Amino acid sequence: MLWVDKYRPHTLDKVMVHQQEAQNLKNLIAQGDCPHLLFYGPSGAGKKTLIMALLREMYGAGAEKVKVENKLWKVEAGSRKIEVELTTISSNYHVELNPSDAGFQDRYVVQEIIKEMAKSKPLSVAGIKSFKVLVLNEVDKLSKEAQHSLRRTMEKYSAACRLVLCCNSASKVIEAVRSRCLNVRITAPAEDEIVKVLLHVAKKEGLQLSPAFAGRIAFHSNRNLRRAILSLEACKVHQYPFTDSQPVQTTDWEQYIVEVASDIMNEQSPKRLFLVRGKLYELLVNCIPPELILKRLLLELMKKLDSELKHEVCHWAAFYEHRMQLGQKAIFHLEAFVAKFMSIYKKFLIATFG
Amino acid sequence: MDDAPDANELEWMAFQHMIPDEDDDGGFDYSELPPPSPSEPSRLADPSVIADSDSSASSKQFLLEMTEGYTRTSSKTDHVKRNRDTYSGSASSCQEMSSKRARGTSASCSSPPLLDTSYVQESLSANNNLLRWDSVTAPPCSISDIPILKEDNEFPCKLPCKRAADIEGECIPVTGSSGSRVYVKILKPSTCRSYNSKIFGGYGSGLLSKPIEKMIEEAERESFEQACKSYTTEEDQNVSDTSLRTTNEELWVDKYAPKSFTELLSDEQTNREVLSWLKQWDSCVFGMKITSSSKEVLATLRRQSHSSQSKSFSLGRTSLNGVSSQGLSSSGYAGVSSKQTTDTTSNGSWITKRQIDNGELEHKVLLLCGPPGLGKTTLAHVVAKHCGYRVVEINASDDRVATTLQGKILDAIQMKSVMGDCKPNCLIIDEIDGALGGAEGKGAIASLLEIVSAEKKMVVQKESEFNDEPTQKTSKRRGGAMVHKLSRPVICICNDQYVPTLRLLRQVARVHVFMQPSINRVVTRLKNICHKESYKANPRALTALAEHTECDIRSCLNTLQFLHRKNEDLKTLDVASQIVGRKDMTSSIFDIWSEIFQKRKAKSASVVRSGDISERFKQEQQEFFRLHELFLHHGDYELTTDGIFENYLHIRYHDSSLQKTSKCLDLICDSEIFRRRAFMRQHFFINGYQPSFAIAIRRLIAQVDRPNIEWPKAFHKYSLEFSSNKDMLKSWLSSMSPSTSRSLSYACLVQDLVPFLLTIISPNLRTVASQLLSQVEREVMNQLVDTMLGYGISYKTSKFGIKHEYTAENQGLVLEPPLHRVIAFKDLAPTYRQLSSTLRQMIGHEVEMEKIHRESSACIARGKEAAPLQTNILKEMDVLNMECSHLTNVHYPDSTSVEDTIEALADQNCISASKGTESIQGGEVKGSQNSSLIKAAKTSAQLFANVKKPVTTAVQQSSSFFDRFKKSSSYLMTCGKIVENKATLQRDSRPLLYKFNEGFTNAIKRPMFMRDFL
Repeated sequence: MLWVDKYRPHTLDKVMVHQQEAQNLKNLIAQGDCPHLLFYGPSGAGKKTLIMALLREMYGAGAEKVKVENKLWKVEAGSRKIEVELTTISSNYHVELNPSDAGFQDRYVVQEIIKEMAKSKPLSVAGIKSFKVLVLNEVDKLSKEAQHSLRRTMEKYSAACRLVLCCNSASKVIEAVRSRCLNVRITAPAEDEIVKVLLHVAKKEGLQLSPAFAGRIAFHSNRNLRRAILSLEACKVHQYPFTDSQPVQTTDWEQYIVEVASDIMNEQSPKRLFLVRGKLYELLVNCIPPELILKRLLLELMKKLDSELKHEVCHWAAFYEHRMQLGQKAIFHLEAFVAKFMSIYKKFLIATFG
Repeated sequence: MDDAPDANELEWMAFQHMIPDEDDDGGFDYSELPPPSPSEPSRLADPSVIADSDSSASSKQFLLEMTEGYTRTSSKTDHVKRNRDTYSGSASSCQEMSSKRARGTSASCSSPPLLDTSYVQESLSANNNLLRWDSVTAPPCSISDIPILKEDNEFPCKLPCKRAADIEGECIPVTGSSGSRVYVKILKPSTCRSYNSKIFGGYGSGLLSKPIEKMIEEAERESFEQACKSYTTEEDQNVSDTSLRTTNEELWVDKYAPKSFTELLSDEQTNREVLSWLKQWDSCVFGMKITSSSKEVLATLRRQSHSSQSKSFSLGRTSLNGVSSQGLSSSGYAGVSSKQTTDTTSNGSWITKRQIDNGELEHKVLLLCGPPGLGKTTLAHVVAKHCGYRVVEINASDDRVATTLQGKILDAIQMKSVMGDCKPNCLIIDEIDGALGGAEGKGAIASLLEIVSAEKKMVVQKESEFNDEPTQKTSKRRGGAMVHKLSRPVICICNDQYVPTLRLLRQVARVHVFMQPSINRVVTRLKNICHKESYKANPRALTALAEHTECDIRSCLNTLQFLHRKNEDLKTLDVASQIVGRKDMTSSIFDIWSEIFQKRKAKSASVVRSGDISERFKQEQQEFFRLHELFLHHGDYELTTDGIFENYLHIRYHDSSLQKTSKCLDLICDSEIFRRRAFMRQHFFINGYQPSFAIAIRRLIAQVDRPNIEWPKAFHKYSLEFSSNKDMLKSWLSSMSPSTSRSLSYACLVQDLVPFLLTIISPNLRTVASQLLSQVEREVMNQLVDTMLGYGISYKTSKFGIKHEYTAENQGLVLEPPLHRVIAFKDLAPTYRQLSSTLRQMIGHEVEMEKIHRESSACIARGKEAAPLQTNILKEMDVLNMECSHLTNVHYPDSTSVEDTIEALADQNCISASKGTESIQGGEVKGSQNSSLIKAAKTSAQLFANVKKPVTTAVQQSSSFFDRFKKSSSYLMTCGKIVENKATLQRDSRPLLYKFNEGFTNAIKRPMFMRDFL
C-alpha cells in the first residue's frame, strides 16, 4: 500500500490539514441533519479524504466497506431508450459515481440514479441517518443540461438522499446548484502544512527526514498533498537515507513542458512552431488535459519573460484557454497560443535588440 | 537499315503525306465523300491484286494502310481499280472517265468552286459504277445479285451482263476500250430510287460515315435548293454545310463534331496511342497477321528495304489482305515471322510476336479519363469508326445493373448485326464512373472484369498447351483458334479514374489520361466555326472563353451558339462577368487545398498596373466569389481546416515576426469553433460562413509556388493513440481495488500518480532468489507486492516485445496495464529506474503468489462465515475429490479381491453413507461413471450388485448422516460439480488399493490446499 493510502486520515478528528473545515463538518453532522454539500478546491487538496471521513462520521465503519459495480442504466428519454454504462462505488449507505463518464448522456444518469435512491429509502434506525448519500465527482465536467436537471431533483428528493458534490472549480457549476448546497472550499494546503504531514509520515515509517528536504519536496509538489507524499515515497525508493541535495522527482510531463517552453524561447519560426506542435501532440496523447498544458506552459514561459510582456502574455493565455473551451480540437488553440507568444516575443526582441 | 526512320516519325510522315489537303480545302470532309466501301471484300478476294502488286506499290499501299480509314480505302480502290483495268480491260470508256473523275475528287480533293447538280450526280454515279464494277469482278458474286445502276436524265445507267438474254427488259450493249462487250439494263428512274436504297441499305453503309442513300438525298436536296434559289452562288460547297442551313436548330456541338481522325481536337499523342491500341485488335478481329503497331510497321519497312526479302514481304501483305494464306505459308513466310520476332525483340517492343499471333493483347480494355468536354467520347467514336468498327455504346442513361451489363457486353462481343452491317462491334462504355457508383456499380465492373479476365485465364491455359507443341508450326493457326476470348475491343470512358469502383479495372485496363488541348487549337477551331456561322467574335474573346471554360469545347460551343441566337456579340467582358455560365464543378479536396495555398499567376497584372482601382476591386470581388463558390460546393469544412492546419507551416510566406502565422491560426480556430457551435446547437446554417475563413487564410499565406500538400494524418493518429491511452487508464482505474480507486480520479492518475508510482514500484533490490533476501529487503519486497496488488499492476509477457523501446531490453516482461506508455515522451529519458528482467520476473512471481494467497485466504474467510457444518462437508468433499483424481492411476486388481476388501470394510460408516447416496441416485451415478472411467464403472457395477444387500440396514441407520449429504449436495450444486462429486464419493468410499507401479510415486496422498503450498 502506498503511503498516500496508508496515512490517509479516516476520521474527521485525525485530519492534519483543513482541521477547521473538518471540525465544522463534524458539528454539522452532530446536529443530526446535513444539507447538500459542494466541495471544491484544487486537485490533491484533500476533498475526497474529507468526504470519506465525513461518510464515516455519519455511518460509522460500515461506510468504508465499498464495492465496485458496473451498472447498466436503462433510461427512457421520451420515445427512445438510452443505455448508459457506468461504474459506481457503493456501500450500504452511499453511492459514489462519476457522472461525466456518461458523456453527453450524463443528464439521464443523474436523474435516474437519484430517483432510484429515493425509491429505496433506508429506514430510520437509531444512530443511522434516514437518508443515503450520493457522491458525485467531477461535477464541473457535467454538461449544463445535467446540472440544470440536477437542481430540481435535488430539492424533490432531498428527503431520501443528500448530495455531496465534488469538483475542482466551482465556477463551472451553475449558480442554481451552488445556491442549493453548502459550499465547502478546500484550499490547497500551504507548504508548511505539507511539511508537517511529510514529517508525520516519515516518523510513522521510521525514516530520518530533515525539514529542509521536506520543504523542498513540498515546494516541488505545487501544494498538492498527494503529490508531495508520493514524491516522498519515490525519493525514498530512489535513495535512502535522504540527503538534502538529493533531487526531488518531478513528473515527466512537467519536464517535457519545460523543454517545450525552452524550445519556444530559443527560436521563433514556423519551423520551430511545427516542432512544438509535435511535442504538444505528444503531451495530449499521454492524456494530459490541454488546459493544464496551457497553464504549465504559461508558467514556464513566464519564468524567463521580460516583465513588461507578462501581462500581455497572460491575457492571451486566458484568451486562448477560453477559446479552447468553445472549440473541440485543443491542438489548434494550443498552437495558436504558441504562435501568438512567438509573435509577441519576436516583436519584442526586434524592438529591443534590433 | 540503321537510318530508317522511327516508327512514330514514319507514321507522322504518313499523315503529312496523306493529309496536306486538309488545310487547303477549308475543312473538306473526307468522310463526306462516298467511299466505295463494298469494294473491300471483293478486292480482298481478288487474287489478281496479289499477282499485280509489285514491291513499290505494296510499300505505298502499306503507308496508306497506316493512315487508316477512308483515306486508305479510297486510295486503295484507286489502286485496285488500276490493277483491275490492266488485268481485265473491260471497263467502258465512260466508266473510265467517270472513275477518273471520281478519283480526282477523292484523291486530290480539289473540288471546283462551282459545283452544279449535274456534276454531283455525275460523280455520285461514277462512284456507284465503281462499286458495281468491283462487285462484278468479284468471283463469288453472282451477276444477278448486283444489278445496280442509276438512271439519270443525262446519263443512262447500265447493268453489265455478259449475255443480253440474262437481262429482262430493255438493255444496252457496251463495248469497253479493250473490245469486250457487256449488256447493261436500263432502269426507270422511279424504280431506280427504291432499288437503290434497298440495295445500298442491305449492302451496307460500310465504311461510309453516312449511308449512301442519305448522301444521295442530300445531294438532291441541295440541287432542289439551288433550283429554288435560282442558282445563287454559293461560297461553301461542303455537303455538310448545306445541310446545316436547313437544320438550323441543330446544336453546334453536334454539327461541328469531328467526323474523322484528323479533325480531332484532343492531344495528338493521346489520339495516336488510342488508335494504335485499337489497331492491335486487327489481328484478332479482322484476322490480320500484322498489326499496325508502329514498331511492327517499322520492322516491316526495314525488312522491305532489303530487296532480297521483297518477296516474302509481299506474302506478308497477303495475309494482311485477309486472304487465307495457308497455302502460301511456305518457308518464305516462316522466315519472315522469325525475322519479325528477332526484330521486335531487339527493339524492346512491348508486344511480342507471340502476342500478336495469338491476338492476345496486354490490355484488353482501354480506359479514357479526363474532365468533361475534352472530347473523350468523340475520340472513341471516331477512332472506332476509323478502324472499321460498328460502335455499340452503353452510357449512363442505360440500365447498368451487373446482369444487364454483362448481357450487353456479351451481346456486343459475340453478336453481329443482322442488318447487313457486317462490321465488327466496338463496345464503348461511357461515363463508367458516375452511374456505376455504389454496390450496383461494383457488380457491374466486376462482371466486366470477369469477362476480361476469364479470357485471360483461358489464354494462359491454352498457352501452356501450346508450348508443348512445336512452336513454329502452330504459331499461325492461333489467331483462328481463339474463339472464346474477348474478341472485340472495349473502351471505357470516365471522368475520374480514381473512383474506388474503378480500382480493379484500372489494373487491367490501359489508362489514358486526357490533357487539356492547347488553347490555341481550341481557339482556332472556334474561330473556324464562328466563321462558318458568320458570327463575329474577336479572337481575344474566344481565348478568354476557352480559358474560362478550361478548354471545355462543348461548353464553349454551347455558349457561342447561345449568344449567336441572342444576336449578341461575344465580348471579353461577357466571358469575364457572369453572363456566361460557369460550370458547376465539385473539386477534390486537394484542389481546394492547393487553391488555398497557391496563388494563381496574376492575370490581372495588367489591370493592376493600369491603376484602375474600381477595375481591380471588381477583379478581386470576382475572385472572392469564385473561391467562395468553390469552397461552398466542396462542403467538407473540417477536412479543409485540418488540411490547412497540417500544411500551412510548410508554405514559405514572408513573415518575420510570425504575425501572419498567428492570424492564420486564429482563423483556423475560429473556423473550428464555428463548426463545433453549428454541430452542438444544430445550427448548420452557420456553416455557410465557413468559406470566408479559408479565403481569409488564402489571402494571408498563398504563394505562387506549387505547394506540396499532404493529407492530414497527424490529428487522426493523435486521436487514436489518445483514446487507446485513455481507455487503458480508465480500465485500470476500474480494476483497482475500490478502496484505492475511490480516492483517485482519472485526471489525477496521469498527472500525479503514475510518474511516482513507476518509481516506487521499481526499487533497488538485489537480484537474488526471494528466499535469500535480507529482512529489510524482504520488507521492501512485501511492500512492493502489496502496492502492486493494491493498484492492480503486474508484470506480463508482452505480445509485442520489441514495440516499445523501453521494454525491448527486458525480454518482453512489461507492466500490465502498460502504464509506462503514458509517461513516455519523445527525447525524454524516463525518470524511473529500469529493473532488470530477472528482478521483474521475480517481482511478477511474488505478485502472482500473493494474489493466490489472498484469494485463497479470502475464500477461507468466506467459508468461515458460512455454517460450520457446510464447511465440514466441503472439506470432506475436498478430500474425496482429491482421492478421486488419484483413482485414475489406481487399478483394481481383480473383482474378487475388490469384493473381499469391500466386505472387510463394509461396516464403515462412510461406506454406508455412500451406498445410500448411490441407491438413491444410481442411474445418475452410472451415467457419470460411464463418462469418466469405463473400467471402473464395470467393476463398481458388479460391486454394487454384490454389496447391496448387506448394507441396506446400514443405510437406514445412517439416515441422519445421509441427510447431511443431502444438504451438502444442495451446497455443492452451486459449484456445478454435484454429479461428479457423488460419483467419486461413492467410488472412493470403497476400499482403495494403492498399487505400487514402478515409476509412479508411492508417496502418501493426502488432501492439500493451495494456501498450504504458499
